[in-house]
Amino acid sequence: MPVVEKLAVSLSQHLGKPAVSLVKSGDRVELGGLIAKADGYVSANIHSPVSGTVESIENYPHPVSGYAQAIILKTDLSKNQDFVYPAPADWTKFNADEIKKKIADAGIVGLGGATFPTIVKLSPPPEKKIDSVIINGVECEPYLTSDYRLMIEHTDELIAGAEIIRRIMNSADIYIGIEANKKDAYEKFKSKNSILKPELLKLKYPQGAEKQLIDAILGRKIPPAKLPMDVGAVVMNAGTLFAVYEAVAYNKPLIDRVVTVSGLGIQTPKNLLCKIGTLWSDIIKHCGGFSNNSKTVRLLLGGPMMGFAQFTDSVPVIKGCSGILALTEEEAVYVEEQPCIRCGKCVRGCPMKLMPCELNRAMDYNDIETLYKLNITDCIECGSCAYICPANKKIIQKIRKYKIKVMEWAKKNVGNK
Amino acid sequence: MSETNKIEMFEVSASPHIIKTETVRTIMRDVIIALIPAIAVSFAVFRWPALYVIALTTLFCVLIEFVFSKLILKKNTVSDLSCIVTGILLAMNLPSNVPWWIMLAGSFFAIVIGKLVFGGIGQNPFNPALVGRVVLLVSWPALMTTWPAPDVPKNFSDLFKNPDAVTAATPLGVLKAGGTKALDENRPDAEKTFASLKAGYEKSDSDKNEYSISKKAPLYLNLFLGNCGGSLGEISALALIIGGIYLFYKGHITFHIPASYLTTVIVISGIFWIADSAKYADPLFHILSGGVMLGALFMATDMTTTPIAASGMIIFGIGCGLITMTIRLFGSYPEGASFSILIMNALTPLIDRYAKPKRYGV
Repeated sequence: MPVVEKLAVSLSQHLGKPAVSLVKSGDRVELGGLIAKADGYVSANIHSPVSGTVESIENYPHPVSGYAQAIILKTDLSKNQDFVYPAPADWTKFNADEIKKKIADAGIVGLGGATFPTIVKLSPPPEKKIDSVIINGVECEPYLTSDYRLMIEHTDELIAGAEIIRRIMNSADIYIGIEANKKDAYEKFKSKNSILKPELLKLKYPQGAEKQLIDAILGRKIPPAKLPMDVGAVVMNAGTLFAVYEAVAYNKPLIDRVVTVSGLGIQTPKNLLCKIGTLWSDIIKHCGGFSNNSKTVRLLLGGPMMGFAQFTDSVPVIKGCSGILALTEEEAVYVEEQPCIRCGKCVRGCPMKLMPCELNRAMDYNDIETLYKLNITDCIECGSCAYICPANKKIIQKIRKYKIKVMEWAKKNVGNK
Repeated sequence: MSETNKIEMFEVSASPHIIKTETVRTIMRDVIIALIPAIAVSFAVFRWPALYVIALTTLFCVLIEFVFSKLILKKNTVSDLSCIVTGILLAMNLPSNVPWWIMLAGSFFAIVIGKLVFGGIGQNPFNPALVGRVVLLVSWPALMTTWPAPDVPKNFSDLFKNPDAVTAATPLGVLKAGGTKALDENRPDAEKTFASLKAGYEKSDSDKNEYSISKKAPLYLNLFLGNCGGSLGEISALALIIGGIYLFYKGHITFHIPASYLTTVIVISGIFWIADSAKYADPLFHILSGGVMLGALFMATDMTTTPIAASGMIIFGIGCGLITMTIRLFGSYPEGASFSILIMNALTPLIDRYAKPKRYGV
């Protein structure tokens, strides 16, 4: 993706507290320079993706929160805007703390979409013994192929990244989960015979969900309300691993990422390396614009199952932007709800072994206590129930709303457990 | 991007943004497709009266759904096609010689009492087609238990002639009245009809060979293919199994209920058969005859009226098997499949309460 003149680098690039801007309107910024500092433990640094000037800091459309504070940059097109890679550092000489510092400084967050600051994930409390790190090479959702391209094109870098992770995670076993339809990526890792052990997984959704991935590779089930570290595992996206490698080997901050641009509404779908802050409208233009054959009705951040719908294409790329999807009328259909016929397909499809149809009925009656008993808070919001439902019940849409109600109710009525 | 400065606006909605294109209507359509083999066999065995019963019963069901869904639910629910499924399934449970008003009464009870009064599709506790059938069975037992004799055409043109107005008992009826001895006595007859079935085809030496194999187990082969007396849809296990496999392939039924139902029937009949094979029929006879196969594949797998979780389905299937065999072995009716499924339908909410999927990670 070529550099464009205007970028909007949001201060909310990650889960947790927004970063604090270090620049003000009119300041000159350098490519890779720190422009916003992490504020608190769960937060991350932000670096300038280009050399140029700060136009303003203003409320700007944000693909997840609607609007958020963003640093608007004007690129100096006369300057080189490509990151200049130095000779790779000999990271085998670094100790664990030095590596961790580099990861934290580079502002790396989970690139699968959840954007949890990576350094927090890699610093589990000492009482939690981590024996396995799983690299998520399962594309979390349909349409997305950015991790696949990465695995094929940067196999060696990912293996080097795995060795870096191993140094800071006490020699834990490192696996990379790959779905059965990407057998070439699996074979490639297999032939390298490295510490990064590939695992071929069944093609299904949501195979890329943390709990399901750990279950598939390690055979460990995370108990309700627990985290991967409670079963001795850490899960990390393949894209994140690549960013870790670049940060440690080249001191490269997280200023760009691979974005899948797809959907029937895009003229030429592509995987592009985009600078953080690039506006979607520029990216879509680079992909030949919206298709003329059918009208794009929904524009999404992420995949079709859990992605966020945008009202405008003038949102910027953020660190968690794994995909830009333009869905047309044929893809994104809206169908009215019909009566539930208790077919049980949602129950068989639920990866968390919930009974979505029963939840749906309880939600229709606003029966909070029953919802609590049906373990509504276990839901990982993958959306499989709403996808498969022949009666087109908007189950997951309602669950999101009721989860909050149930948690509030449980606080009052169940006590702290 | 448009050349003007117009801002593109897109629909905003909560994920998921794509859904499977399967609806209640397509599921019902698949069930109708799955019933086609059984319909074809009923036509081959009972000729035009079979098609007449199926067509008229379905028509009654559609008309009754059309009128009463407007009256009761204030909306027209014919388009979900469930009334057609109910119509065909009800016809499958009727002899081919019933008068039209039996079909009308059965359709009324199936659609209105069996389904609409509870709030329509998805709300009914009992399988609508079975409600219709059982009301007819207990109200007009004579009409409901007089089955025409199977009349497999000897050649192609025979297919379009009307069958002889001869009636015959069902294999289970024979068993109930006369025990296994009576079944054995019926065997030569069955053999003869099978031979006539073969007669339509070219004769060759290899044919003779096949015939001698079939001679050993003509009763079972007839039951399997449908060359026996009975209600329209229950006669041929083969046709029902083909339809069942289609539904399984489409993901509309799971193996739990049919497998547990049939296994229970095999186990119980097996125990009695081993204990006294002179008195009791063998397990193969029990699963091939009567309404067990139709029930196990099409009635006990009805989505609305059976448990949701896998463990609940297995309990349901075992319950159906137990009640069916109890009625067959000790009851006054020769067949108990309909009653067993209706009784288990009534227990479904209770089963659902306790049989839930195991919570993830506990």
